[in-house]
Amino acid sequence: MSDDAILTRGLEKRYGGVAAVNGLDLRVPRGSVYGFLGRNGAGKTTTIKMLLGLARPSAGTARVLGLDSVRDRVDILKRVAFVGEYKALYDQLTPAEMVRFTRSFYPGWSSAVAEKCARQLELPMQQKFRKLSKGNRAKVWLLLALAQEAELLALDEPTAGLDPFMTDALLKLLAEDAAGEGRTVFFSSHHLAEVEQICDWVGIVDNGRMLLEARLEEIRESYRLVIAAGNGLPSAAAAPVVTVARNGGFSRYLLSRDAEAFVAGLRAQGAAVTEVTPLSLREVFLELVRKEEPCTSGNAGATPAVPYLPS
Amino acid sequence: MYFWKCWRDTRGTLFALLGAVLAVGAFGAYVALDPLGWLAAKPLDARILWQYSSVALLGTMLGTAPVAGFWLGALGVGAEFEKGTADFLLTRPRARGYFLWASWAVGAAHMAALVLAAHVAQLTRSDPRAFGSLWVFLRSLAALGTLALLFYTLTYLMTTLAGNSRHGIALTLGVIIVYEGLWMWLRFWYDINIPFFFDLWRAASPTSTSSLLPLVAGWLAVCLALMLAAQFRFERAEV
Repeated sequence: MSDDAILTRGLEKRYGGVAAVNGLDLRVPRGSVYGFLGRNGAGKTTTIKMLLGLARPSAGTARVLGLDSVRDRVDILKRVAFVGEYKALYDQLTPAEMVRFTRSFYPGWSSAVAEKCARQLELPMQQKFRKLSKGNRAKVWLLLALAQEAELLALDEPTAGLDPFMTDALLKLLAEDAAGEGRTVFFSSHHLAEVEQICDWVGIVDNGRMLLEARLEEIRESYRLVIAAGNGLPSAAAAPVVTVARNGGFSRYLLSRDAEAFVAGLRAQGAAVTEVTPLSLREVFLELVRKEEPCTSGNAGATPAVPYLPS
Repeated sequence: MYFWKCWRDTRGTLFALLGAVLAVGAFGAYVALDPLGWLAAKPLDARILWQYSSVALLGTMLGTAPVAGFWLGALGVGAEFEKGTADFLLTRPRARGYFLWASWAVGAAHMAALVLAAHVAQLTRSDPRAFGSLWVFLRSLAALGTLALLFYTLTYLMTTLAGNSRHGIALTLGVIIVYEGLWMWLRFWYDINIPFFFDLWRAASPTSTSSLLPLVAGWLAVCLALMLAAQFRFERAEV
């Protein structure tokens, strides 16, 4: 049995000449709660669609629970629960009827979990879906996903459009009922705070490509931003350098580890290291997906006098 | 359970259409039987008007029963894309073909019930030539049932292709008009006769002498081909 719940290699999806996903390499360990981060349009939803057979890859491979996402679509769907981005369901049905409908597809359906979710989330089970609020619609989707007792939960922006109270309630339920049972949770979002709240792995994607995949703990402990001034400084993004950007006389490095040794090396080359800063997930995210905001010495996000020039 | 869900989606339409058939049938029965003697008490020209109204309504109902196929076909599985529920449905662990055929089967059963009800309502017609024998009744049932199934399946395919009910109906009407134009063009310019779906309608006439079986079999084969095309498309559809 594969140790990875999800594994993609060179996954691509093109719509005409536009690449929505562009050579994505993704690895989600079993039992992890994986936050799949990216800006709007980064390719998160398209990736999830390809994993679940809702879209066909243009190139590359995707394996879910060891199965091929194209060939073994139905077998994958038996073991994966999904929460879609738009939270549309059948308007004429009540949540209770949706439960009846959905459980017929899953032999392992847990009525106890469904009842518990309905109670905890205070869902009006007899109200037609079209009359439910956005928050309650999201809760119905989550209830239907959790009660499947699936090995893998694939959640596409499950909290999009919800107020903080609702978001907190959903995340709590997710953390308690899914992650607590040792299932894998694959969770796409662009809300960094909620990812930090429940995830232990993160993948940051932009323009359909994986920019960073690491344990959240590792990011907090080892990732550093180093800003140095000098000539002839390293300009290639080779480990431990994740990204490097040059701006006038300043070089800006995002390091995944060994910051002290790297800084010592820079100083040995005569560079003046002006800053070595531990980073939060938010700062790492901004550093990776930054396109236009220029920076020089100082805190991330400070405005420089000269334009930002990617290396 | 998907059958149950399809039934939930379409039963309102079915009940509305059956209600219309029932109302027209009741009107026809009232005119034919005149249980309270009210019609008999009317002057001759008024009685004739009532009789003609009854015959015209019942005849129109029989003729328009297949048109319900446009409506029901547009409620098929293709409409899931329009409603935004396709990502939910297609992430349930079943072959896509199952959803397609289950939804079609429920609609086809509705069509059968409607065409049968429309025929049963004809029995109230006071015109004895309407269904002079069981054989004529069955011929008409088979012909109009096939025509209804054809319109229904064509709309079902077009809705699946378009992923939208209204576009599906519009495409269906477009196909019918283009096919009719082609039929006329070939027939009147080149004297070539290609099969035409209203041949079924003509064959259903009590005075028709044409053989019905090859027509019904041929158009049922077309229905099957349309469904296979719908399945081919649906199994490759992306959400």
